[in-house]
Amino acid sequence: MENYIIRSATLNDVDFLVETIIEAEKGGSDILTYTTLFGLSEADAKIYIAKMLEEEVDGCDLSLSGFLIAERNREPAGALSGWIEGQEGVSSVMIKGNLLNYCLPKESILQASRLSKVFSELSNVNFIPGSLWLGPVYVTPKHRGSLVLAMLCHQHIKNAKNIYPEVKEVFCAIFSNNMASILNYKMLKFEVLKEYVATSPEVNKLLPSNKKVIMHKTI
Amino acid sequence: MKKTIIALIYKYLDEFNSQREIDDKLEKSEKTILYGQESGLDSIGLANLIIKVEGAVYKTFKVQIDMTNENVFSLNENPFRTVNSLAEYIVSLINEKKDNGNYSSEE
Repeated sequence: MENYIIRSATLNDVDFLVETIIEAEKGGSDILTYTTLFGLSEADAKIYIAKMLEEEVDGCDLSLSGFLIAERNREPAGALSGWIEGQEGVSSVMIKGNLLNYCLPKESILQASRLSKVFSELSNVNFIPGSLWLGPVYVTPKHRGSLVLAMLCHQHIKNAKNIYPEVKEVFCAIFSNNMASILNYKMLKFEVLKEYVATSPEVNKLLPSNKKVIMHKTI
Repeated sequence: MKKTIIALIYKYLDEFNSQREIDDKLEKSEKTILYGQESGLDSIGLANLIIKVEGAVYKTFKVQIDMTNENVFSLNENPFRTVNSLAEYIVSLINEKKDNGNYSSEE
């Protein structure tokens, strides 16, 4: 259709993936959880996110191997992360938790741990083992309105089905303020499966929204 | 059929334009660009267009089409480029369904 190339991310893409994760975390808001929860400056958050990606740990939304990059004229246009949940018998929550613990300063982990009660209602997402999960997504402003997310999503589904033919469902978890992502997934025939709402008034200072939407589609 | 589909696309453009400043309105023309940097539609605008036109096609033709199915990305021509190319693409999707015996037109 248009000259986009979809390829797997490599270590050379870390800078773009850091931008992807930061922008996806914000989801169109000004709130960056690495700042509000972990007490890091945005500059430090970038350094630690790069470090976590460079660890090349598989199976969660910070796994370098899980990112697909859309590229046009040798320029990154967008990225989307995806992984098969619990592939090695360990949940993505556990893998990501270990990665954060290993890479982030101890005081950041302690701060996040103290604050976690505020949004505990959002932490009960049921990551169904053996299903495909899509994580951080970002499309550069220049390439918006070009169906880049659709191309990345289709490629993730295709890759997952090639490697794990038994995969039957694809999921994503999105903060409700991120209308662009929600609409784009609706366009791709994802349906809202469940909504998690955090009731503490403090949550809006920490997260982009107090509501997380789980969307899914049978593949 | 194509004329009806163009009217459905224009209906969405009316809705889109009603929320836009006069300089940002999209022209109701078959040549109007809907995709990419040259388009006045952003990511939300294009996603909305696709969702709403698919819904309108279903209402009008009783045919469920999927404009963003994975096959579209391997086409040589970009069907989302203009109002005209999108209408032609939708006609081809409806005809495909018709060929598969999954069609009941109210036209």
